[in-house]
This record gives sequence, structure tokens and C-alpha cells, in this order.
Amino acid sequence: MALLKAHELTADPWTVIDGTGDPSGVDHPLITLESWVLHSDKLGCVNTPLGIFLKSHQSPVELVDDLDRFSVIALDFPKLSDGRAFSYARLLRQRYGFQGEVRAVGEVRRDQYLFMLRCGFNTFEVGDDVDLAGWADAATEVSVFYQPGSDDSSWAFRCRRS
Amino acid sequence: MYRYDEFDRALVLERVEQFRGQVARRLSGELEEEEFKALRLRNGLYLQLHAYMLRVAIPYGTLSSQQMRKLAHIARVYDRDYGHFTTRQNIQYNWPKLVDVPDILAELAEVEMHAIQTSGNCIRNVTADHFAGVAADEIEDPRVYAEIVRQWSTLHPEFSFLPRKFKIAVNGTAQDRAALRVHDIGLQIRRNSAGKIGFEVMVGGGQGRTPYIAPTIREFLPKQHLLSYLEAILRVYNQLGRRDNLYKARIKILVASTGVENFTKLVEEEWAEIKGGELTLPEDEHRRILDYFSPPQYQDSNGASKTFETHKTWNLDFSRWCKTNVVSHKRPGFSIITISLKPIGSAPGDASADQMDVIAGLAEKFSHDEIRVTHEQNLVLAHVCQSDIYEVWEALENAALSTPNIGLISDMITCPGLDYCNLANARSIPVAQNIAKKFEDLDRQHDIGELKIKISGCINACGHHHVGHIGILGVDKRGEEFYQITLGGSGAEDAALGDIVGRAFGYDEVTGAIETIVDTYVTERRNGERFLDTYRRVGLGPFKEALYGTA
Amino acid sequence: MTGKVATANRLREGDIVYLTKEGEWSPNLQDAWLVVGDDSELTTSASKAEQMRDVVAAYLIEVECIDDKLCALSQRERIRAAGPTV
Ligand code: HEM
Ligand code: SF4
Repeated sequence: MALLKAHELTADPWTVIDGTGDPSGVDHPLITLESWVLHSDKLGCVNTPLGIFLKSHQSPVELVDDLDRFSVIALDFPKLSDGRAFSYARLLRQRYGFQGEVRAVGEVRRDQYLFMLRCGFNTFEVGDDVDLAGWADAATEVSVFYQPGSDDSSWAFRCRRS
Repeated sequence: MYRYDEFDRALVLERVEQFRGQVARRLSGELEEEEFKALRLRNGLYLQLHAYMLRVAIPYGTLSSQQMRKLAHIARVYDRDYGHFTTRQNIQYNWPKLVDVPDILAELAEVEMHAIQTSGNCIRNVTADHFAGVAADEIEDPRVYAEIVRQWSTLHPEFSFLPRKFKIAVNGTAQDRAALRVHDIGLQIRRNSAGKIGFEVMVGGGQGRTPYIAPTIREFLPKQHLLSYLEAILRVYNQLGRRDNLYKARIKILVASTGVENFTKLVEEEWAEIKGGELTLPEDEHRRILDYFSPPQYQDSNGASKTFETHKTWNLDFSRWCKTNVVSHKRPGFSIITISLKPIGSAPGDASADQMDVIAGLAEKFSHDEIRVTHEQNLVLAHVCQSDIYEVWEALENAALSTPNIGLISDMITCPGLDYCNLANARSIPVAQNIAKKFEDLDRQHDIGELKIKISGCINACGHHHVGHIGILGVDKRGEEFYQITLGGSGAEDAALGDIVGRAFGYDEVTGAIETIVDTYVTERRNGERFLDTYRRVGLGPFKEALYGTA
Repeated sequence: MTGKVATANRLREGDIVYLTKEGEWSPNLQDAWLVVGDDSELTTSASKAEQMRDVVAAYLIEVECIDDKLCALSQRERIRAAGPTV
């Protein structure tokens, strides 16, 4: 797996800790929601970097009070047709003002890339054979937007008025 | 009608090139079929029973003559000389080649058309009353809002991978010609007691395997909040709609399982967060779009109605056609003409390339360059001066387009069925043809009066059978085509789902069964009742008895 | 006699085709390679052609051979072979 950020490959310092194992001692652990529920007392009050991985039925709304504690929230696309995380990302960015990294994992495809960018994702877990030029193209294939997103691109109502 | 500005034009062109790239990646092997399928579907391209099928959007059913000519051209050059107009105000081509589709889309873009979101689990082509802008009692033209929704929903980054397809319809008169209550969202334009314009919002209607009549979740939504309210509904649905079972994924199931009250609460809570934000419709943007739909400059129609009356006395065929296919326009001296795409023995909704050209010519000359597609699979010339109607009729007569049957028994909605569709259980088109032939006699059709038969080839209900006065549903019984009949449905303002009358009929029996039902109605009816009224008064009993005997 | 043949659509055009004994794809059902009994070879050839991107949506159908003529058993496949009935 490779990690894409701003259309470039980037190093991934995070280590995924599956299940509910104790992540203390791991550098940059990316833990599950179940693990957070179990260990939040301990993890909540230390200052080491912490990330969380949410399955597509786990809404980040469950975490609103703890968002500050996370540097990364990874949202899962378990299959191409499961688009729940698009809404989650927008809520994180717009409603809850989450400033950290919102990472797309799972079925992350080039043809969804622009939608993900517009919903506020900023890193993308992709295959090692990723065609970087193709992904960069995908981000610019469509330049007109008819609705506000969670990125800073302008959209039709506003463009037409200026 | 709406004209693209630089933004609209750029988006559609970019989308064509994006799709061209996707096709190239499929042909080069970079994309597997499974992944490509998800991409081609959100651009209206299916692989059907015989070939690829391309569905082109006709937003809110309005077309210019130039656009209609382009549709004819595409049928001629890339397909087999015809197209099929559907209940969702789209046109389907049944035989395009995959390698040609990018070029077809580029040709469509030249005339401001596209196939964006005509399939796939996203917000589909927004439909509207086909008499929009010309109906006498209209509060406001629903196409203005349909266009606003079209733009907002196009390539929406958050709502392009919904649990299931999503269909929105808008209507602006008391009479519901857009079948609002069988849509995922139905928007009925209302004026409140303070004289303000807004919408009654209905959510969770649908047909298919589990049909529902949509409940109203908000009696009045001020118009400037339309998009934020829609965004709230879609956001709730995108997060909570079921994704584990294709048949339970539509919003109707979510609304029913959550309960209307709870669902409404979820939507209102979400809306409270975003209300008054960026999506609030700016007055100038509303105006900009409204202006495109302002009424055309009608010419002087002095004496037109007198000429029209005289023409009717000349020619019996003409006057008969006028009786069913011509209705009054909000402006005196003008009429609305419905062109039937249901000649006896044809495939309902089909039009040949030549016929499309004839209609384009007539619209250009006589109807302010505009054509409408109805959800009942007919076409409309919406602004014809009454002194021209006779000439229009003659031209239609020459193109085999003057069937005088709008609203009568032979004006059926029919899905493609097993003749074209991969999902079908049984054929639909020949069933419609056989029924039309049985009732060919026009006097008899007039005697029967308003009767809407709707036929689907499987439970997906593309032919609206649940809401047919008489609904016919194709089912498969051990490899044989059978047809289940329902009675008493309606897709109009008195929306209702039909009741199943009893055991299904074989292919050879179904026409006879329909005749028995119609004869029973004729016997039972009281002073001028429509079929639907009689059915609602007497119920299933007499029909059951006539069909199956008393045993 | 009943057996199986492989059918698909040409990827580029969408036309319906049937797999022949020579490994070609023909638009005519009568050219199809009829296999009675073990149909694994049919399946293998058909999925190979899908991988080569000659065809798409390949599957096997049941056919009957009467007087040297192949006839699909299901109504759906008969309509597919002969075109729409209307
Ligand atoms: C031939 C290709 C077609 C395919 C594969 C197809 C597929 C489907 C499916 C699967 C559904 C059920 C959706 C659900 O319940 O979730 C459906 C519903 C529907 N389709 Fe089609 N359809 C086709 C053609 C048409 C045509 C030609 C029309 C118009 C005449 C049409 C209009 C509709 C309508 C109105 C519904 C029911 C309303 C709803 O619940 O969405 N479809 N279609
Ligand atoms: S109702 Fe069934 S048979 Fe008819 S078009 Fe829809 S999916 Fe096909």
C-alpha cells in the first residue's frame, strides 16, 4: 500500500493496530474505534500522536467530543458502492471543524478521487502500482462545480456572481 | 428554455472527455468490467439483453427543435433509426456501440445535452410536469426548480455513491402530472397563506418490489431553502440507508422502517445545522434561471379559435383527434397538443428518426421551438396557435403521428420487457400491442373513456404497473410468461397502489382478461364515471367474479 | 439432445455472439459449439476471451438440438438469439 497526498506519494508514519490490542509503546498508532472505547482513559491524557480508523458504519459523530485527540481519522470504503464516508468527511470538516488528516482507505479509486478531495479527504491509501499522472489528471478532469464542497474550490452560484 | 452558460458548457464537455478516457481504459485493459460497469452506469450506459443501451437525459422533459434533430441524427448514424422515450423523460437508444459512445456524447454536448446520472446509484434526471409553464392553474413553473436541482445534483461529491438510485420530481399545479408520490422525493409547489412560494416535500415513495406512496414530511418549505433541505434529506439517507440488501436500499425503506415522524426529525435536525448557509438560493441566481423559462412572445391570435372551430366542422378525424390530444392553454387562442407515440400496434414510446425530424420541424414552425416529453411516453407541442392546429395535424397525419388516443385505453405506459431488458420475466410490448388491437375501434375507446393501463415486464415496475388504473405485471412461472393484474392504482394527485385481482394469466389469456375487466366496468358504471371511480365504488368483487367465476 | 453453448457480447460493439468450436465468436447461434456433458472447457474458453477483452458478460446457456438446428431452451435466450419479437 502507498499513501497519496497532494497527488504525490508520501511516507506513512502510521501503524495500524487491529482489534483492541493496547497501542501504548507503538509509534503513531492508528487504532480502531473499539480500541479507543477500551483505552480512551489511558490514551486520552497523553500527548503522543494518535490516529483512528472507522469502519463505514461507524460515524465520526460518535467521536465529536474527542476529535482534538486525533491527528488522523481514516475512513473506510469497504466496497466501491459504499459512499457513507463521503458524508462523514464533510461532517468532520464542516460541522466539527476537524483540521487533521482525513484519510481514505479501502476501495479508493482514481475515478472517485475528485469527489473525495471535494469532501475534505486529504490523504489516500492506494495500490503500490498507482499511476500518479492518471490520478493527477483525475483531480482536474472536471473543473466546474455546481455545489459547495468541503475544500476551498469555488462553485457555480459564486462564480456566476463574480 | 434553459440555455447553458460557460460553466454548464465546460462541465458537460469535461464529462465527455472523462468518459472517453474511461472507455479507453476499459479497452486497454486498465479497467476491469466490474469497475467500468460502475462508471459507465453513472453515464447512462447499460449492457442490455441484445447490446449496449444508452439513456440520454431530457431534463424535466423539455427539448428544443435543434436538440430533437440531434436525437434523430444519433438514431440514424449510431443506432437503428429509432429511439425510445421513457417514463422518466429520457430517451433510450437500444443498439449503440461502446466505441461510439464518447462521440455520441460529444454530439449531444453540442446541443447542451448529456447522459450524466441517467443511471447508477446517484440522483437521477429530475422530472417535471410536461405542461409546465402553460397550465392555467400553475403557481410557478416547476422547471425552474428542476433546473436548480439538476445543477446542484450534478456530480455532487457527497451523493454520487448513494445506497441506491434517487429520483426527484417537481409539479406546480393542483393536478399532479409528475407522479410525485411514487418518487424518492416529490416537490409540490405551494403558495402559503402569506402569499409566499415554497414546496410541500414528500419523501419515500417508490414502486418496484415494495411500492410506497410517499408521505409528506414538510407542508411548506420556503423556496430559497430548497437545496439545503434536499441536502439534509440526502445526507440522512446516505448515512442511514441500507447497503446490505439491494431490495431494501431505497429511501422508501428507510422512511418506512424509521417511521415518518422519526425520519422527519432526523432531516429537520440536519437541516437546522445547514439552513441559511451557502446553499440558500440567491435571489439573482433564481432570477437568472427564471428568466430562461419566461413565456415566449406569443403572436397575435385574433380569430384563431374561430378558425379552429371551423376546421373541426370540416373534418371528423381532425375533430376526434382534437377531443383527446388537444387541451386548453393558459392563453386564449392557443392550445397544447399531445402527440401520441402509441399508434395501434407499435411499441409504446418509440419514435423513428424521421418522425423526430418532423416533430422538430413542427415545433420550430408552430410551437416556439419547444417539445416536451411526458412521463406517459408521449410528446407535447405546448404553444400552438389555434389557427395552426389543423396544419399541424395534417403534418402529423402524414408521419403516422396522429393517433387520437391520449388518455384512452390504448395510450398505455409500457416498459421494454423481455424484448430488450436483461432483468425481464416476460414481454411487455406485444402485450400492449395485442390490447391496443383488441380495442382498436375508436368509438369503443371513447365509450370506455379515461383508462390508464400500465405494463411492466418484471417487479422493478419501470412501466408503473402499481399505479395503473389497470396494472399488468409480467411474472415467470416455470419458464412461461404470466401476467398478474392489479386494479385501482393511480399515479396522479389521488395516488394509490392497485389491488391484485387474483391468479395470473398466460400470455394468450391476458388480452381477454383485460377485455373482461373493461366489459365489467362498462356494465357497472353509473352516469359517466371513469373506470377508476367505478372501481373505487364497487371494489374488486364484480371484477373477480367476471374473471374467475363465483366458485 | 440438449447441451450447452457459450454466449457473450462483443466488448467494443456489444453484439451478441456465440463461441464456435474453432474458438471464434459468431453472431449466429447455429455456428455455436454445442457441448453435451462436461462443460468446463466451454467455461474456460469463454472466460479466457473475456480476459482478452474480445467479449464481455460471457455465460453458458442451455440449448436443444432438433434436426441439426440449435434452439435455446429459455424464452429469454430465444429472444436474444432471434432479436426482439416486436
Ligand atoms: C431496459 C433497461 C432498464 C433497466 C435495466 C431498468 C432497471 C430498473 C430497476 C432495477 C428498477 C427498480 C429499482 C428499485 O426498485 O430500486 C427500475 C425502476 C424503474 N424504472 Fe427502470 N429499467 C430499465 C428501463 C426503464 C425504462 C425504459 C423506463 C421508462 C419507461 C424506466 C423507468 C423506471 C421507473 C419509473 C421505475 C420505478 C420507479 C422507481 O421505484 O424507481 N426504466 N428500473
Ligand atoms: S420493469 Fe423489469 S422488464 Fe421492464 S424495463 Fe424495468 S427492469 Fe426491465
